[in-house]
Amino acid sequence: MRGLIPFYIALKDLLVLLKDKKALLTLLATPLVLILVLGSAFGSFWSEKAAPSPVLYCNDDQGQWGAFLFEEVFALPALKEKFTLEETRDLESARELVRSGKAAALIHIPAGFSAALLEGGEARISVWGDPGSSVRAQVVRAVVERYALELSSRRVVYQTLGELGLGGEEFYPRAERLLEALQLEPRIEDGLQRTAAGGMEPEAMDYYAAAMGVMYLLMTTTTMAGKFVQERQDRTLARMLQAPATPRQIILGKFMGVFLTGALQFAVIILASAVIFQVSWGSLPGVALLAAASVCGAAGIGMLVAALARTPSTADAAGLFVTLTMSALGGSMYPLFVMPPLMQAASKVTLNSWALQGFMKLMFAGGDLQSVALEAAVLAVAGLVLCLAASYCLRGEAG
Amino acid sequence: MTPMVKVSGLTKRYKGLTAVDGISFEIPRGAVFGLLGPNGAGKSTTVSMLSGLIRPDAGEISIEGLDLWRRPLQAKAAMGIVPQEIALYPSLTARENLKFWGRLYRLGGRELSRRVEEVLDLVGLRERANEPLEKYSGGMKRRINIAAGLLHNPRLLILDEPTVGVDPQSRRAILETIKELNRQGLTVLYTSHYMEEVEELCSLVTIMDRGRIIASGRVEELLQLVMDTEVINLEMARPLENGALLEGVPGVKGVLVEENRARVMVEESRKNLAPVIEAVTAGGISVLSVVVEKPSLEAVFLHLTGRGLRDGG
Repeated sequence: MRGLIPFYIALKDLLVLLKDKKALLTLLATPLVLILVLGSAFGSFWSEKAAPSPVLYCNDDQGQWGAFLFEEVFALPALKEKFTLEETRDLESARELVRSGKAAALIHIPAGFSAALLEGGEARISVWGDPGSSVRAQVVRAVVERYALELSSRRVVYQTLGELGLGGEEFYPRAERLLEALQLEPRIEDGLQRTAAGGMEPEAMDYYAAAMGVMYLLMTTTTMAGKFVQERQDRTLARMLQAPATPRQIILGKFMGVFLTGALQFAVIILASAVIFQVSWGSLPGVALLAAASVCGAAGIGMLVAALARTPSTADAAGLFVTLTMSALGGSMYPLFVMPPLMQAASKVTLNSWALQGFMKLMFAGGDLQSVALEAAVLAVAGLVLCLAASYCLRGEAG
Repeated sequence: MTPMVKVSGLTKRYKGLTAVDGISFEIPRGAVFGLLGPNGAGKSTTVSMLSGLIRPDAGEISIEGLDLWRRPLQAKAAMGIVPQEIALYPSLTARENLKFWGRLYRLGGRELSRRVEEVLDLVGLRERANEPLEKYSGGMKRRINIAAGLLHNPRLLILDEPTVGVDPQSRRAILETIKELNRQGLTVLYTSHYMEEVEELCSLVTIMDRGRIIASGRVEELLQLVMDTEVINLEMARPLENGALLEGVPGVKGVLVEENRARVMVEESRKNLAPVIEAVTAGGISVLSVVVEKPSLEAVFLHLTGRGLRDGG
């Protein structure tokens, strides 16, 4: 029974919020209205065709598979209209161009790539792109990842034939026949077409669904912070501390309450936006992971606000300030990928930026669970660190 | 038998101010122990330390022989706390509030439901248990505040000024509930600055002033201190500037002035009432009413400190 105390506190917090009709209206209905308004208002502006972005490449490979990527894959119509390939020999300068936002990405294929692929050695393609840069950089990465995946299928076929001793002159024709029989060849084309098509320009409605979802998630967790401080003022927190519950259980319960409320709110926004506005959120496991990590990060911010604020009004004001500042800087109001590089770099300190970066990968670059692992890890670790800091500040609550 | 509560050398300081200064006392099982004193005397700080909310700077507290700070969860499980504030959730119903607090005291399932109904019956609010507390009157909230402290059948109930701001009817209901619980064997620690309540409820009384215990014992024993003293309450047409008018009047032991009222401690009021009124009227102040009180704990406090219980520190 004792172990359930944090859970009971969390459930009570959720119940208190559910009974607050004004807060519910603000936290659930308002973001949906804003998604509709912003998505509709900026829809035509967003649908205008943007100029193709430059992608730098350096191909040191002498074989067919290095060239195939640039001559065939990036020649696919869906990619061609988005990217212009520019060859470079100076990797250092090319990386600098990527860093400064003048190129979407840099792809480097080292010497001996095709040979290594055939011989079973290490075959590596490098892609440089700022993790917080435009959707297009993420599309480049997704295309190269997809290409590498397809090539690894081919490599398995080559290795199997080699191990069976079916070499000689018949090796490549046999391999091609086998690939055809296994329907791997058409899959390369299909897979790349799908990835390229998945990397379409962001839809305003989709973007603002994620943007408002994250902004209102922050709003919810900081609202819960205000309610936590209210408990201190109303002496219900003191009464909890007088019960046979440890301060650690109470703080965990409060964190769980903030987390549960944030998770419920985010889930409602995701579902409602998908049903009402046909927002395509992307891979379900990826969305679940990223949403949970975002909630964790936001809950950490809420807990820290609660720990530092002395009165509910201070908590509300601080919560609003944090929410609006992070939302403005982190892309919830103005899209991240149209911000200048300096602002994009500055946005990295915000929860919104990391969360939106992940959601953009899922929505517009065909990303999956693995592709948002970095963003999810950053958000979850930040949330836990902030919660630990809040616990440290709250340690004196029990005298 | 191990006392229910044993406190020794309890001290708490805040930024140079000693709120509680080395107090010691014991509460026997089954007693109603009154902690009396003006605002700022250190009662609430003492209760906060006793309930494990704030850690003392020095001293020890044991509940049923368990050291509160070494075995806090076991010691706290024996106590029911009724804080001075209505520490409940206004948007939740009485039943939802009680279920939450019951779960914090490790009650669950049918036992929790049964206890919730029992305490609702005890405080007479079962019929309105599904209404949110924000619709309750102050007195009704106070009764639920007490009910929340009783859910887990504590062996010690600590009530910190439980009747502040309640109507006379609710106050009477609260006092009767406490008496009934004590008859059933519950030990009660009751703090108040209303001496009438303490006199009515408590078998043992400790009077605190400025963080220290200035008197303790059975109510009758304390009243012995002022057995020969009565209090004359005067209501006047205008405020008495100070007590100087009454200095030198035979039998007057002390004067407490509160705006246009004065509390005059005298020996043998029958003999000395007339000289007191004459002295006031001789000073040009009309006396509107006169009430003579029997010896009370308030008089004890006045006798010990020269100040009233309600005029603070």
